[in-house]
Amino acid sequence: MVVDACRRLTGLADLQEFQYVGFGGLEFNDFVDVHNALGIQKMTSIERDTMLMHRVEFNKPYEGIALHMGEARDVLPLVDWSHLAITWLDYTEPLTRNIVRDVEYVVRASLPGSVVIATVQCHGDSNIQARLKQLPVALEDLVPSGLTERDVQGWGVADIQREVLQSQANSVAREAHNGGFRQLFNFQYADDARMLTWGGVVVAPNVERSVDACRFEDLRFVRTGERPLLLKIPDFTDREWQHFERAVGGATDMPPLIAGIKRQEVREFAEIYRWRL
Amino acid sequence: MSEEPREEQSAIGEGPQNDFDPLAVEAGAEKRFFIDMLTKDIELLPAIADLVDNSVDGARSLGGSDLSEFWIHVEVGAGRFVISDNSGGISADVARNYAFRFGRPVDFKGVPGSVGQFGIGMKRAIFKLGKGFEVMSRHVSSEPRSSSHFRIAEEVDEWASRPTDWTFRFAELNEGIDLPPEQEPGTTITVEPLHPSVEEDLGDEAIIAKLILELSTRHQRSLVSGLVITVNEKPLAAHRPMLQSSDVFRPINKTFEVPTERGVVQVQLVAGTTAPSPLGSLDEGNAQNFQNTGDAGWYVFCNDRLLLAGDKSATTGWGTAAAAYHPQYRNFRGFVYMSADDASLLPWNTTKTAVDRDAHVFRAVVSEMKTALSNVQAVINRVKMETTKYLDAVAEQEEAGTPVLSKTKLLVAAEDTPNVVVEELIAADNVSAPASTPFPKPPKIAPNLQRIQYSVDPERYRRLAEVFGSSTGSELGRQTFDYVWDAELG
Repeated sequence: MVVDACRRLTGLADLQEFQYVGFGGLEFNDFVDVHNALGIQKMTSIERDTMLMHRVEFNKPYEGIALHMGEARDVLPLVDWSHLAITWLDYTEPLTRNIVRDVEYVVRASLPGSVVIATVQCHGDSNIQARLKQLPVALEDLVPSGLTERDVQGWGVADIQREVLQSQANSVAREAHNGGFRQLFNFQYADDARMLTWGGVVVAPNVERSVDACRFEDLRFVRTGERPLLLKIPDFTDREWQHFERAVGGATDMPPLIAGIKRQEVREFAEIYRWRL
Repeated sequence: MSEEPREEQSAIGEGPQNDFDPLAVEAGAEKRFFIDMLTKDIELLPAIADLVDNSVDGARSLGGSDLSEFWIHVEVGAGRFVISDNSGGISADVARNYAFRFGRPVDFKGVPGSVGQFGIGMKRAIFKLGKGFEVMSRHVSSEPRSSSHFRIAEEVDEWASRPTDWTFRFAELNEGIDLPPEQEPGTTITVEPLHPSVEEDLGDEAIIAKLILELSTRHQRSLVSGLVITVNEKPLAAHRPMLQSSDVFRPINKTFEVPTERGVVQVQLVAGTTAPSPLGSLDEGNAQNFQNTGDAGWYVFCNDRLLLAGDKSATTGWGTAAAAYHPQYRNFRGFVYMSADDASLLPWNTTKTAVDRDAHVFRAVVSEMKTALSNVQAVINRVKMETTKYLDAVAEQEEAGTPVLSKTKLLVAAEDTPNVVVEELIAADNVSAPASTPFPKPPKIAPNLQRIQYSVDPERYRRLAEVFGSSTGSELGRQTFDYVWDAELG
């Protein structure tokens, strides 16, 4: 979905002028996607675990990927921010003040027209009381005051995290670029844990009209406000996945079901199967 | 001394109203109330600093970047306060029409790049200090027969008792003259007698020391440019900001402009580290050589006057955009110089003692400061991480008796890069420092040993272990070997 949205950045500049900055890990899936689908050449991967350096070097799919080993806060300044950028900070842990700081840094350092995305886990604890206690510890003064248990039930923590990220990004973009941060992504989904992917585009007065021209809001999955796109990832085996992918691709009718899989699950699958999540 | 008005003054103090107007409603200010209002919000030292600012402005308007011919002397004691300078003086015309007014007419252009802006500094300072004053000034014009010399002396109480007359009078006035070359143009302001509380304060050496510190930090750049400022004949020392810089380890030094509706503010931002204290004192303060934590932080100047010194607060990004201050960042120094010909464009408050955080210009500048702070913090973090690893490796190696590893390029650069004065730094948009390199594993030196291994009957092992008091097989093996060695060869 992010790649689909980024295709529209042609309204701002040739996609080859963008660089991609991400946490490639050992798989580099996102790097393969942006390189294949968008033709992005300049790519930087950040890896926190310095012990993995040789494996990361071995696994990187393209020689041209620059690798920075270390905490994001320490190596983000090594990126050359004088190019437009698509930056995806893909964390596996819940949002903290330090993560917000990384996001703020990227929004501040990026040229207007750049895309900034962050993925965080929504809550590490299943106990509602504990969630309520953890939020101010993790986010310090960024947490809205007067939170109650109701606020952190269900996807409540994700809603709060999105609000913190969006308001901080917007205020930094206003300060640094005399503009704002236009949210495009607000995805909530659960694989092993509940996750939030939030992001958008850095706007300044000189790119505002070009950003309008990208017409991001025409895309069905774009979410510019509080209401998230709730992605349900069906619990299919690889074989089932391939079966339904073949069956729903380009089809208008409901494919024949497999006993034990509900109609609703196949509908949800049809919504998301095109994108790697 | 230059006292250049700018803002329009409201109706107060426009002189006596002779014509009776039945529709007029009295809304004039009582002078005593006016004086109280004017002086209640300013402390003694900022008031004196305002007078010095005026003299500095005068010197800068004449000398530009070389102020070595100019001096300002401040003398306090014996019940009076005197400030004198050779900064060009006030012309009789400016004195008559602008310098002694409260507030400034909009048509007054002022001195480009000056500190003075609001047109109240000199009067406010005089009223704050004492009950009587004398201002003497000699002004030299480039035109023949256009120079002037005047003296104004007033008793404040007597002046305040004249309810509608807001004028001061020249006690001496010579204008349209040529001043003899031996008479240097300049201004001397004497305030005498002082208010009793002021006299008491200025008799306190601690307060004089504070005044000296305040003036020397506020006017660092002017002092570096050669201006001589003395307080009770003691010249103030210039502190020259310095940062570590070399080909491989370089601070940020960027210049940019912030446009406003009425003109442009020029900004120079310099941020980096000072040469560190020795290894092994990673997180403890060190009061020597300006390495104590108090010196770290941001120094923000407006038209070369220091507004923030060693700031480590959220105002400059600490704890918000960047990590909060911690002693590991004690080598961080950032210097921001904002300048504008029109001082009112600069983001300072009315007493020019602090930044105006809400000003558009400051928001734009602070955003750059936050990025710079994060960038320098990142280098400091990397250095700290490598230092810790290095010290661990050294400890391991010493224990193992293997040769000590050499330091990484980053560590060498961070430790050995010398300080360079800010004026000599080359332009750079970002800090540069050697990349982090994985710490090389200490070379394992195979010890030159012969290993012996053998198996014995468990019962015989148990009995012999009891004899030697051994708890493990290897221990017993060692002890038996030593026993035989001593018996046969020892």
